[in-house]
Amino acid sequence: MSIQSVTAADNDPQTSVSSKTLEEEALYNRFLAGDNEACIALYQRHNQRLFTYCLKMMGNREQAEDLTQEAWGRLIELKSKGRKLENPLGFLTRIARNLCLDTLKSQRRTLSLDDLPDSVHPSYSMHELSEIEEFAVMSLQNLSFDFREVLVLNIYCGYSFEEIAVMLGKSPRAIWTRASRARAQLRKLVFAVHPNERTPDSSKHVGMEEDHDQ
Amino acid sequence: MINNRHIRAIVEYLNGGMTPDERQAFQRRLESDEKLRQILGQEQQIDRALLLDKETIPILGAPAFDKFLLKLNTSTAAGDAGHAAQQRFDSALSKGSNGFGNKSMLIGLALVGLTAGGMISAIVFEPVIRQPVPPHTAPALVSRPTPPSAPSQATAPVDSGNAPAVVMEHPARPYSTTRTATADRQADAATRPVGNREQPDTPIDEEDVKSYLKRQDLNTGVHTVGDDSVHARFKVGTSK
Repeated sequence: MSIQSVTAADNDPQTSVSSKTLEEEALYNRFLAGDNEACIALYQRHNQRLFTYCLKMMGNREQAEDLTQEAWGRLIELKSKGRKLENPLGFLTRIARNLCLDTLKSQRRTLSLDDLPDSVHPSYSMHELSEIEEFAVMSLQNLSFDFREVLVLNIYCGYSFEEIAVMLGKSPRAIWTRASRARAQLRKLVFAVHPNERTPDSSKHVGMEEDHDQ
Repeated sequence: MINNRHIRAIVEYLNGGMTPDERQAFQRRLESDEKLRQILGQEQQIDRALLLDKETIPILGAPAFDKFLLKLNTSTAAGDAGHAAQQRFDSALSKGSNGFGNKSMLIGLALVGLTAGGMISAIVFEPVIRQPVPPHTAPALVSRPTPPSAPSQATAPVDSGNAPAVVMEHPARPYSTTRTATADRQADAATRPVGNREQPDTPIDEEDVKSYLKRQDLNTGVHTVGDDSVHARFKVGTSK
């Protein structure tokens, strides 16, 4: 499986991002003018990816569903205020990001890590993964919020780095740099406990129990 | 030595962020650099893990869409009225910029001021206005307009006890459509009798006024007329 199948490999990514943003702005303007179908079109384009983002940032399905609904609710509320948006997807992502951060902060105030139930950890249906791959998925949760966010948006949600830059209001260069650092940190986390892992094919059937206990 | 620049090259390579020429050059370098090859292998392994994990993410189905539709429809129904009001407000604001709206606002403020002034006057002067006037001091004036075509006829005075009834006669003035409202008001003022212009057609009987005042005293609990029976009834009704 190649990562290239996830990202849009256009010759001119900036042009592609601009045309997508304009298209979504037009959809949102139609929604403001009273066309609910346009809002539904936006929902169908981005809801699953927004939910995936919330799920990977929170690690809890129920919370992720609630936060996704809340983000859409905030977008719908803008209609009554008549507020225009140039980048509806960016608005949705920022709302979801803030909601995730607020929820995580409130969780930190009320729960310790030992109190978290098993369902919080992303261990669902990981039987297809080798142990080291499973550890890679779990290590993603140990990255800082910003690093995890950029990898989730890129790998899980399928947005290109140029799209992520527009969504988060950063320059593409900053997002590329952040993604590089996030990948380096994740690789260090995963392979620091597996120094002998050299090739992807030899990664299977490697015991990790001793390393987990350390 | 692998640094951030190399990591970025690996990320670009994995994400298709290279031109074909850059890609070929990177592949040539991979063949000669074992460390770079090792890091690329690790990155590909992480990618595979994350992409497999992505496949396990549940798909949001109809229940989530139903919730979204409910929110959308509820908000639309509630928001349409607010949006229309907002548009009217915006429209009024835009009119205010060309002068017409400012005049309307001034007229509105003036009307509000006049109304408030009238209310204050009514509160301050109400006791004075409501002072009962002895019937015998004020003559009952009756003004009856007569049609211009009919000859003027003297009307018999109405008996009002001590108060003499004065009958004023003036012809009904035909209002011209060409005259202004100001001219009409001036003409009215010239033909109307001076004094209390709001007189009833039937003179008020003095006894009726006295009994009315007594009833008012009972209702309000204020005893102003020297009637012992009324006073006694009032006291019995309120004392324990």
